Amino acid sequence: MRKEVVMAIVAVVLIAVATVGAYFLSTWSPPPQSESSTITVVDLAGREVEIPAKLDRVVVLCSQIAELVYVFGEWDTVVGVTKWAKYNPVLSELANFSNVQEVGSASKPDVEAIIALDPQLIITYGGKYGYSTPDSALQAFENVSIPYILVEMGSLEDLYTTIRLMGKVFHHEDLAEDIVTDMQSIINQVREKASYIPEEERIKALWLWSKPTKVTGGAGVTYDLMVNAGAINPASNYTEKYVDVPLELIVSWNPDVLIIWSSASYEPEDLINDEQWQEINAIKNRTVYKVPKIISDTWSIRVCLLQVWMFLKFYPDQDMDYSAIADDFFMKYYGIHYWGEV
Amino acid sequence: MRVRPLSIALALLPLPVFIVSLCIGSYPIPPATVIQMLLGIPGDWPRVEWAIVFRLRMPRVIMAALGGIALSVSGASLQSTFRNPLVDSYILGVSAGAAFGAALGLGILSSMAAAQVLAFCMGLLAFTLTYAAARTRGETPVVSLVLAGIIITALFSAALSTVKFFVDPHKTAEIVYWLMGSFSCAGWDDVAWCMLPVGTGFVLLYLLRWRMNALSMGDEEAKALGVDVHRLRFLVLVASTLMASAIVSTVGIIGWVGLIVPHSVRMALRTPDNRIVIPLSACVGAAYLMIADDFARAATGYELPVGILTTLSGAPFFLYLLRRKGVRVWS
Repeated sequence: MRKEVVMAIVAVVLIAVATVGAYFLSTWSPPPQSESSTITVVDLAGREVEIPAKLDRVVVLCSQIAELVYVFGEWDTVVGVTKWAKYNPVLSELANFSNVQEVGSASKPDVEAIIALDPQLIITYGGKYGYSTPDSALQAFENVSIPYILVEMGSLEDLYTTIRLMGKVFHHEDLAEDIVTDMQSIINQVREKASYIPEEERIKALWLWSKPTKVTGGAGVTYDLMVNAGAINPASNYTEKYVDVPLELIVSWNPDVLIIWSSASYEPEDLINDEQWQEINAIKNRTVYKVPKIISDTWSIRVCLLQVWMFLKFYPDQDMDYSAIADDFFMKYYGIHYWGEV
Repeated sequence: MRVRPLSIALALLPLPVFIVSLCIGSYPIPPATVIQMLLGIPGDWPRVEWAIVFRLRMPRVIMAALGGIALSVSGASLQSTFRNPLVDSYILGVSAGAAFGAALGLGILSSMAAAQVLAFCMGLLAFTLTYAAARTRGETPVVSLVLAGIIITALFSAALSTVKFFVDPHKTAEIVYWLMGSFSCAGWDDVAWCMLPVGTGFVLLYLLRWRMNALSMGDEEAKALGVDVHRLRFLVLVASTLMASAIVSTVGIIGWVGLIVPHSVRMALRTPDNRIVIPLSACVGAAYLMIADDFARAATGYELPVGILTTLSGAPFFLYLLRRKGVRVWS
């Protein structure tokens, strides 16, 4: 009898424990995502990169990406940034740099300073260009197991891919998609209007770089923008992004509009007053323009505004309101009115 | 001094090269039209063709000729004064100084005009520093001058690297391109900028050619002949630097001209006599750079940096001359 009583008590206790255990198990949920959980993304160099799912210490060596991070509202995650970020016309106005350390640039990174910041992720330029991060620095990041994402901007498509990639990295995929959609919408408006311009009315235009005879060839973002805007680039036979050509070739092309890179060491007046350029239509008609600093960056999301600005410089009679488009875009993504030149 | 047919041919060489150079370019203009324009014969050519010939090609070709004259004559004079066949105007720090000045102008001030002025001033400053560093107890020994030139060149090169390090990669590219040397943007204002220093330097060196002959025999012999060695050397240095700085500040660094041309003239005519070498170096130098620039602007659809062409053509040619004739003309 006593034995049965003991067994009954043990059974009750076991049932009670099982019940309580079951209750706790039913209400148990996994702990919040820890530092060790990761996601995998593919960067613009085609590399698979495993990065922490939640980022709060990022080094950004591309000022355009730093700007995008600001637009995502994730500026607080940036602990180190390229020295060029403070020259970015938007970041210099809007972002708070007091808690962000300058760590050199993509091409000349201060590797030790970057590692000392203990970042979870580094975002920088890939490729073999003058602005790319050298292999030795990338190797140093690998040695201390800091993942890095490489971005390359050969075309507008690359830029869209980069924006979507950053959306995934910072968990703002919807916003990234919005940005891409808006950019494409603005650029497509230009494309559509340009498509109605008859072939014989299309103007010839050149984009001039650091020196007046260094022009955009048949590749790169500026070339894409010129074509979208319905201009004929007489230098498009060259396959390079930039090409230095003899001045008399420019005279023989006789462009109707000249667009000068915003950081060039010369102004439209220098060309207008230069007797060597006088036989060119663009000089005769005073249709020489320097790109405003605020939309100068062809690797930034603001490039869509450059597209509109350029189109209206090529075809001033076209029905598009640059100020309104620029202001809408700035209000939507930067939360501030457009303050640049028109 | 016997005038030989080869000397006459070399002296006249720049004229046909000048005319042919005016006929070459990417804008198709019939040579007959160019000649007609040059002779002032009225014709019904389009205005743009006139502008191409007189506003684009002519100042550029003249600038190339001036560059050839300046670099060759300064090279010839310095080689004679230093009694060293491997010296040219760049060894005094002129090119490094000018490069630093241009980098400041392009990279920091973002102004081509500032780059030109700064390059000129820094070229002269580098030479002044070299000369001051080499001068001891009222004398300027040749070895000290060459060593001081190397030191000042190193300092300005480091300063140049510092500027290149700190500026935007696009600006770095602009500076690097400038360093390669090009006549691509040369206009009449550049010709005007260079004419005075190059003209003054050339006239001065031409007048000193007799005395340089005395100096090339050695300081003691020159003193015995009544030549004020230090004053003469200083004048040659100043004139050479003035010419080279003006050219470098306008078109960038064009290497090897100051070595190739004087040696070619000496070896072709088998004489180190400066009465012949100085004027004929001017003629051959002018023709050489005009031809090099013709290739730079017309050989491909691209604007090639002429400094690369002078080095690519000059170095093997120099080697050929050395292998063939050695440096006997110096002995």
